Amino acid sequence: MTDVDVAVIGGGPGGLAAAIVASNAGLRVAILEERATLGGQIYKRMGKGFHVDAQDARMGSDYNKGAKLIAAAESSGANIMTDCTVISVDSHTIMYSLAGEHVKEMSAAKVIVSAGAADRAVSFPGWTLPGVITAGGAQSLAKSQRISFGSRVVFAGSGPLALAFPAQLAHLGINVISLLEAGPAPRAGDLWKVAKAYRGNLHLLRDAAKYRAQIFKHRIDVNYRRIVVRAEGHERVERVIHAAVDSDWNPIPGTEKSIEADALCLGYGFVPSIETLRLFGCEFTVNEDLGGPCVVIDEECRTTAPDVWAVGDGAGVEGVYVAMSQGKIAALSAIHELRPNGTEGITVREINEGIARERKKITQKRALVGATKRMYKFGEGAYRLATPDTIICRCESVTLDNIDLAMQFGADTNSIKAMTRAGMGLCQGRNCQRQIVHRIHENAGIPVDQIALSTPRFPLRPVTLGSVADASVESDKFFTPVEEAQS
Amino acid sequence: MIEQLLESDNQKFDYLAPLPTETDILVIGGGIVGSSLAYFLGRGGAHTLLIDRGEINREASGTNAGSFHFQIALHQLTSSDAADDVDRLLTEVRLHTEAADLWKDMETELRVDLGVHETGGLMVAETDEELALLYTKQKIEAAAGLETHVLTGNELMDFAPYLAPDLKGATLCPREGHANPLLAVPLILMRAREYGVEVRTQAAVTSIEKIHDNTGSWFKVETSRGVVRAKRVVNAAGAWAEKISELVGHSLPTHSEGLHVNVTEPREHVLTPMLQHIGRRLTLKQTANGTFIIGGGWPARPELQPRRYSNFWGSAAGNAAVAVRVMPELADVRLIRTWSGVMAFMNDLSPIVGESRAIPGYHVCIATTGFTLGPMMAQLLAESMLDANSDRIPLEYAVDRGLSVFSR
Repeated sequence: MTDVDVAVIGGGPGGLAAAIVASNAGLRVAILEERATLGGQIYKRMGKGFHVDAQDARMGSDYNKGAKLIAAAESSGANIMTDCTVISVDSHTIMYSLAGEHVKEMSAAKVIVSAGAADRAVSFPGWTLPGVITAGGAQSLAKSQRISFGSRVVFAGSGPLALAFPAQLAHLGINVISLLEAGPAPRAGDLWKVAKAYRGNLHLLRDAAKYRAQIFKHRIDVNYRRIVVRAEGHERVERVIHAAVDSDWNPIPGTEKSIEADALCLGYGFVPSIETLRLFGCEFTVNEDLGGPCVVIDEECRTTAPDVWAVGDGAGVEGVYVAMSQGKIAALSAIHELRPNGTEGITVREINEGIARERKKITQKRALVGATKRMYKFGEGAYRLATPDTIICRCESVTLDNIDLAMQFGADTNSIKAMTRAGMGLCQGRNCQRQIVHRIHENAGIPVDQIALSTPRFPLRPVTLGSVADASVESDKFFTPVEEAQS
Repeated sequence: MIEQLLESDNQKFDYLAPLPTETDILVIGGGIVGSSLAYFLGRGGAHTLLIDRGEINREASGTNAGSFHFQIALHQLTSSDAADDVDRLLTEVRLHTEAADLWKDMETELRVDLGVHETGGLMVAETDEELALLYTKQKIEAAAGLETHVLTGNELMDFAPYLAPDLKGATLCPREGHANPLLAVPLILMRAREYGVEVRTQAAVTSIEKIHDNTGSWFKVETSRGVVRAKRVVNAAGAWAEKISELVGHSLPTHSEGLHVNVTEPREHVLTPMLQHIGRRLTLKQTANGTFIIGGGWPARPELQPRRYSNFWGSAAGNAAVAVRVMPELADVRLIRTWSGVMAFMNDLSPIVGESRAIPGYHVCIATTGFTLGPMMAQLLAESMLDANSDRIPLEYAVDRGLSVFSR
């Protein structure tokens, strides 16, 4: 028998929704969350040492929604493991470290991966200067510690988050002076499309209106169709140079302008965190509208790896509501596979109805995304901003010219990695890999979806050798002279 | 280091250019053996084309840790008594030191930084039996002309204060060291090109046919990128050499294993020599970047497709345990990545180098477990191909020596 029926990797909205459903149905469930608190990025809690009055209106609606979801997970009976870092996965097996302790093994009949997303890294001259921060990083500082990161902040990016984040940051007292949206200004036609997709999305439209009001109230200078081409400064950001872009976000020469600023916050959208799913051996496809490389899932969020489901932004960036619906669908699907006749907590009919209900909600959410596609489509020009001496891999300080040089020996991510060390550092290519793939695409003319990412390997997160070391593995099987093994 | 590749002549390295239709010598395999061979052949004036089914340097040559191990190691011993293998070990030790000299010579000749460093190497013993083995092997090494010293007690602690205090002893071999496996092959090929050697990648060999016609004897080699007519063919395909040999009707039983490597985050430099273990699977060194590279023969999954061996958690854990026991301060250093590479060898653990007697014109060059030996085996073969009177290749390396087939 396995340690648990269902292991949920990731304690954000998708993972929590899945765990609540599975646990309430009577299954043995564990949630593995690497942070100290549940809630993921959107429902991020305040850090240790902060006390929040439950009635405090200033915390905002997301905070309260998160609190409810977390409370439901806590009372569901699921084993909640926070500070729990997943180090490796294999078929039905998860290697994890609790609070930095020695790595342990958990076996699971079913695994639901809700790994979330990360900021899309975009490299341009000056992007490594102190004072340049990603939207997710800025949000984490603000949400968990109420830390500001500058006194004159420029926000550059695109999509719904380029509306929501500056508004949220301004609401928290951060002086956002200018907003650069790479996409176009909304037209009447866009607004009409958005309005038609109102069904099931009123709360989102209300949020958007609220954010626009905030941006107006805080007198943030909003510029459409402009992108940051350079950040300049001595030892930190002092100026942000931006230019007008075409529909593919390519800067138009002669349109540069400069803003004095001491911080630049970048929000070019999110990319799914795919490392865990790649290590499971799941199949992938590329869907730039969902953040790039996305795991292939079926209608019940099953991946191509046996007994592994993928939900939420980690399976394609679609936001919190789709994540929660997918979490529920995956849990229901797993329950059905484990208990074909239902459980005391849930009947087969309820399972099927639940899946149908959540699928309908997802369809409604996707209608709204479809309505905003013209405005928020990612433009590949963002990946063409680097100059030859721009650092692409920050961990190993690899510049674009060296990547181009290595590419002459093979338009292959593994080969470029070996020759330049790009992707060998602490982040293991999470930041530079997409940029390199795009460069291969441009230089060698290979379609992005045919460029293999570098070979997936554990550890999924850095882990001390002391907590990996296991002297009992020195069995005869491994400790056998080569010649004996041959005979 | 990669900037050195700009030194050449600033031409593009266009390995995807159309495949030449004719060559004197076709080298199959873009690893350390194939690239060194192409260099030596080109330098000797032979018209040479090197092809690889993927990119250059992507298998064993580019996925090993680049160490030069000269001390007699665990995997070379057939029993707990090194004296049982004296003859073979004497030959191997001599060979390895010559190979090390060649690496240094090549660095000078090629005017590039291949990352060759003589850092010295320590082979540690944890038990009295292991210490006794160190003394036995030290005598063989001395007889073969390799300088090693057994260090114990305070002498060892003074030399290597980072080692665990309860180690029984270690042999120090000042000549051990390493080269850079990631860039050696591209740099060697950069210089080979200056002698007119051509390189083509993404050209997988699908058939080899020996033709005798009114123009003489030649090989018709079909690849995924077209047909090449070659007077002579060299199989330098490492772990895939057996498959290449099958195409020409030649039996070449090779064995391959996947090997696991652990790599840590960079730390302040503390460890200069390489570390090995006489009784456990461990090789450990700190690179110029400050990272610790830890391996030593722990297995990776034996998968050949899709061309990468995936890692066992057990190998990471067992390997880490030995490393931390030998060098305790590693316990709080973080593992940030693992990799695996393939290792190819013949069942008698000797290299296979030379021309097939049964199929004249068909050559094989496999160094056997050998990044260190690669350039030297290539040099031996290049000499014999350039000069029919050259006979430096030891008989034990003969291509048709009747290797038995492996049973796994």
